[in-house]
Amino acid sequence: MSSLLDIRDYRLDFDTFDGAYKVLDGIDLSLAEGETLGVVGETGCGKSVLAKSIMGLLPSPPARVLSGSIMFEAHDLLNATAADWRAIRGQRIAMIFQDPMTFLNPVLTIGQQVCDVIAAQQGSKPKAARLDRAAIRAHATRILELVRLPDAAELLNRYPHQLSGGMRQRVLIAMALSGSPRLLIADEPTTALDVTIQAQVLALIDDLVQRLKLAVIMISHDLGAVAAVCRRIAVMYAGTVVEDAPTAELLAHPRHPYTRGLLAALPDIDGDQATLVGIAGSIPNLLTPPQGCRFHPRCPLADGRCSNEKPLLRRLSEIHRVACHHA
Amino acid sequence: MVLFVGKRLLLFGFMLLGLLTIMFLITNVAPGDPAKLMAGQNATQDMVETIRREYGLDKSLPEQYAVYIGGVLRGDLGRSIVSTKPVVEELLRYFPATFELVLVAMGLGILIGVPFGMLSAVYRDSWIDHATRIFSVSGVALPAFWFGLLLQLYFAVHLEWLPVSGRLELITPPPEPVSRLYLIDSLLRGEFDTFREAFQHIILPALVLSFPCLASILRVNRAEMLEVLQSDYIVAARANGIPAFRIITVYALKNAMLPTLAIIGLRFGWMLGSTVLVETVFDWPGIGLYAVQSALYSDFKPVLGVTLLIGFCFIFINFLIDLAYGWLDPRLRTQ
Repeated sequence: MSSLLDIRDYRLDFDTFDGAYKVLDGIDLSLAEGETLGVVGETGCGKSVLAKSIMGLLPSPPARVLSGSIMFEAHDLLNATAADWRAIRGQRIAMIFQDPMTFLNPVLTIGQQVCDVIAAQQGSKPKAARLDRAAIRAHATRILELVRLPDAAELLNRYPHQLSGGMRQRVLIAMALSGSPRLLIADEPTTALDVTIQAQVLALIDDLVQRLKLAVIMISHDLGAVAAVCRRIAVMYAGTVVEDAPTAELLAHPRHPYTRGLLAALPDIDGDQATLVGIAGSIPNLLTPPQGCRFHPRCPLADGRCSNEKPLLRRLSEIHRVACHHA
Repeated sequence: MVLFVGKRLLLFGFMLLGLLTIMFLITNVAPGDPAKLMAGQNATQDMVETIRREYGLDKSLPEQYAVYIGGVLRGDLGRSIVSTKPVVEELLRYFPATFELVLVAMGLGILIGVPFGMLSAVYRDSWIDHATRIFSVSGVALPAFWFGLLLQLYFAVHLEWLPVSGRLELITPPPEPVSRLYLIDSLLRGEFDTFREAFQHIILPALVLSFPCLASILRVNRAEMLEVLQSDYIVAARANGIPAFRIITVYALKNAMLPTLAIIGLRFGWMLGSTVLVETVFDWPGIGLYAVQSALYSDFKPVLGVTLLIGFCFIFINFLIDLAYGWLDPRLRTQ
């Protein structure tokens, strides 16, 4: 499989008045055409920052790239121009967001917003292939139907506040898919939704991914949600990828102590455990991250080597990578 | 919608009544005997009493109040003691001049304030942001009479580009009244020379009047734009590939305009009530001068009339702003 997205040794700081927050510390990840990758980790581990980096949405300053590259198809995303982004955003890479309540513009109708997205895509097409207004509206109706929204044509005239959270998330998914992208980045797409709606939205994403042969990066702190859609999972901790393996393999044979901790912390629906298990300690301050392995202050296996030497993400097998001296 | 407008109108009436009552009381506790002032220094006591009776000033305060309110309801605002003409007639003469001035000033405020507020938010901390900041601080700080004099000196006296004062040249007949706004009437009558002249006359006083208002519109719009540009839906619009220009002018501006509109409404009323300095400097025959002169003569009916009219305009403008809110923000349309 050729790789669609290739992130190498990507380091990023956030400059603030207090100093530089070392938010991402050498990310290595690649994604093949049509592959589904889940990125899981605690709040603040850098997963959303990684997603926004791929879309070029980080404001700079404060964000400052220290090293590395992000290659997508033939584009070098870290050096993309405004014209490059016009051709990429929405048409090659699209993104859906965490909170559908705040990611739709409250003062514009659904139709205006969906049609605007489609209209923006016409600019990079040859003149003959461009859609006129009526065709744009027809396309908007079609993609709303694709995400199984009822009465799509009527929905175009409504405002976001008249829709439920689940419907809004579907609208956002529809907008993201309107340009037939090759890669969909889903940043916590179900976090803000009710549990039942979560399941529906996950099923919808899963179905669309299969039908449209989309590559997906789904970001979440919810292992269950990620496992439902993604074939592969990368676990992030404090700005680094600590483990990367196919979903089944990762769930069955976690090798990094942090991954094991995460899995142990999942409550068992049939179990009779009285208290929830957690990982001792809390996430480090990224202004002064721990030396060596960033997880070592919380790690049960930590020894002298862990506090001095940063473990590299090394291959245990063809499909399983882990960044731990003890794995 | 009908209910909304109906409620507003009812409130409208009560506000005007309250305004009238307060003004009526204030003007009556103010020192000075209007009958005496009108009769002149050499008048006998009899003459003063005659005038007092004629204008109903001998009645008790509640009686005077009842008579006045009754008159207002019939569209009669009483007579000016100084000119002996009905106040309504005089308002009709002076008010359009002020209204035209305020409209042009507000137009300038919006047309300059909103785009520059937007620009200084988009290019935050760039030279354009700093320039507009200095500009708007001086807009608030410069006294109108002084700034007006400076402009007159430079553009009218030194460069001789624009006339010093007045609404039109003395020899130019005003256009046939339709709206009584010279700019509009001259266009309606096809008198383009008169239009150009009226425009040349209004530009300096309007600029002076608009300056503080322009400054506050600019600053509020900038602050709102900065906040809106940080919001999630702007990030989403960028991620979906919507062009930057459209994001700023439609996606962000429509949201940022809501608080800016409130400022516009307040400033409009404020301008109507504070034209007197500008009118004095530019010899503009408006309502501000009329009100101040009447007050100096203890001539209360014109003062009350002016207050009522300005109050009415203020409330009406804010009513229009409420409607504009509904148009800008769909969440306010549905209860």
